[in-house]
Amino acid sequence: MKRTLLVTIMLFAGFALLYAGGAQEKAAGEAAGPVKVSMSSWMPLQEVSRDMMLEIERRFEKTYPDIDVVYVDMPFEQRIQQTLVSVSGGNPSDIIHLTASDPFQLVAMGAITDLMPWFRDQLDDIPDGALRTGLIEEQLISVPLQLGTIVVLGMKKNLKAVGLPERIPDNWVDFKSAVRKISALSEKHYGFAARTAKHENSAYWFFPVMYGHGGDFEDADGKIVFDSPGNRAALAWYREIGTTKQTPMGMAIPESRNLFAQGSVGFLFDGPWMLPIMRNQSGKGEGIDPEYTAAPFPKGPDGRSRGINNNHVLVVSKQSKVKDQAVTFIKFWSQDPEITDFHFSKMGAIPAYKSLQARPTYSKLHDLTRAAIEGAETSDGAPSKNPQFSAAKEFIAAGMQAALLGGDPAQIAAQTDLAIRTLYGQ
Amino acid sequence: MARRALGLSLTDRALPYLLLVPALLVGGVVLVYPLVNGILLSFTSYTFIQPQYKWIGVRNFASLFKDPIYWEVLLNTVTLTFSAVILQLALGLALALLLNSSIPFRGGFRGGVFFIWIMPEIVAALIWMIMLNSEFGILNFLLQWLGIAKHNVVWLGRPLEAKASLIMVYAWRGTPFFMVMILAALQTVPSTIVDASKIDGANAVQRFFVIIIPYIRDIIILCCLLSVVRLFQDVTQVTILTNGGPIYSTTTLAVHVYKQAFVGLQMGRAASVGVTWLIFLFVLAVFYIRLVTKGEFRK
Repeated sequence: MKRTLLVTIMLFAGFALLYAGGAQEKAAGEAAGPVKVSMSSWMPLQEVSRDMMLEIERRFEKTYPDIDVVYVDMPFEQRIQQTLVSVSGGNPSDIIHLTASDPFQLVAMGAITDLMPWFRDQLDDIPDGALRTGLIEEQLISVPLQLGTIVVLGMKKNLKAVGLPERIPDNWVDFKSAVRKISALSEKHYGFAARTAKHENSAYWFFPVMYGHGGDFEDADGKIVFDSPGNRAALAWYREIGTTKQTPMGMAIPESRNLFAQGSVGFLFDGPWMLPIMRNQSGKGEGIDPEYTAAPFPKGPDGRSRGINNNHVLVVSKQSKVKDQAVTFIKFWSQDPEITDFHFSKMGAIPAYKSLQARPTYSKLHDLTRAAIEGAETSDGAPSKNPQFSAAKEFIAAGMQAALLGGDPAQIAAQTDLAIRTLYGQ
Repeated sequence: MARRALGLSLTDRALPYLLLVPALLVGGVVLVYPLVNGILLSFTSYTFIQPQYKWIGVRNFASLFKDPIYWEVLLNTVTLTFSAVILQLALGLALALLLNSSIPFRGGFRGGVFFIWIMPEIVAALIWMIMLNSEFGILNFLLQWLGIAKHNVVWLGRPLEAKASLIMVYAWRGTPFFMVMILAALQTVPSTIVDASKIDGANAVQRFFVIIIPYIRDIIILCCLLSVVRLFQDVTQVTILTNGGPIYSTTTLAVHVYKQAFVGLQMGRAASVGVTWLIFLFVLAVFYIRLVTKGEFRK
């Protein structure tokens, strides 16, 4: 028994020594060598962008040998949840790659650095739509990486088949009429591939429809105005397209893109990243480029085209100890002309800065890219900066689905409005 | 003196407890602390944005019970789980009985069915998501090719169809477990009793209900309980296939807790949902123990 006790104690001591030795080695490793800057992003994780990200990292570290960029893989769908957990756990990455409407929860947690000191001189170079999203009470909480203006894509052959010009209608009346006509072509045709899956993204894609019918989410004072004639009209249209098979049901982003790329859909709402996606999913490569067109959203009852954007943004966590180096990488990736051209060539990513958009690389563009640049000024990346906006979008997604399945728009609008106001504490 | 009389020194008596300390520490950290913390959290207004343990009593529970979505979620969980378990039991029992007899390629068939169970859950969910796609899915293609359906069935986009799809996927996934467990239990049924009953004139149905079922009853109850617990916890399959939609028709307690916590950022509220879930399963476990113990008492 004494021998057993002795062996047990020796085992514990051995493990303790091993752990202490490992910790010492880690500390020694951290003391010497280049400064490490970590970045959470989904782009190094995705097959379509992994090689590009590794090349950007290589070029950056060649230019700045004293900075070592370390990617932390973060799935796109999990970006908010993983970021929240890492911030709460006290170990967020130095740079966090998000989309425009994501950072507000982090702002409420006090987790984001004000980037104004580093970007004050460049504010005029950022499109209004992108800047509006990143500014909260004079603080610059996020900087845009690439434009993600959501536009309307239209399949030319379907427009031609119903006797319409091969362009996106410039008002909602004509747009809805075109959707109806294309749906009537055959059972396999849909006029519009709405995002109809139960996801907050689907709710976000519903916002241009609300705007186009004169509706809105909140007023200038931040008061929720979901129960309005405009939004009820938008829900009524969704009821029409859902119950008369003008849109496929249960479609999330990948399925709706696939359907559009296969040519059986009239219109799709999506962003400039569709350029390489269409080439890939259609199976036609660049041959698909002339087969579709794009434009900013049709004009609403007030004569304005108003859309949304899903701009990619970068934030620096407040807990980062290497903020200067983190900003150096952000500027390299988002502002270096060679890198932004490279990013565009690989992913169709339009640089966020107006001075870069004026470069020769962007002089001959597909309709899609031109529409994204044109729509950038009037697009909104954050209809609400309330940290509960993500949860509010869940209610909107449920309401939207209820409309698609034939629910009463007035009742849905009222119930959703009440649920969101309760959530917001109004 | 008493210690020496027992032949055990202090060290000898302390050693077992010392050796238990690591396991107890791990168990305490991984099991007890989260459980107690979760229950305490349910009585606070803790959120990610205001991470403070502010005591609010039973307010989370009061607002939860007033929320119609919660009741719909609870009903969904019970409906989906118990429907799936009944289907798993029926199919698992049928397969076990089949594999207990001498059929050709029994080994290969057994392996093939077992393969379903060892497939990672997310892989299975993704495969079903693709198969059930209303536009591209192979299931619609087969149904129309066989003339069973005239149009595409929207498996995941309509409430009733989405529920049925989930039950089907759960049943597909859980049947192998039932099959394996029941097959093992069937091996314990004494063949002498079965042979004797045949001589006495008992038909197959009578042998099944009077002899076989009593022998495998405890295993069936255990499998059902384990399956219920597992399905109550499922987040992966619901999230991948329907994300709780359409509307809230397939939102289960597990998904609701996740969304309250990581979308709504309401940790206290999420914990209160978790506590109700815990109570429900606790009642089920008590029911199981009484059922099994009663059976043993009878034996």
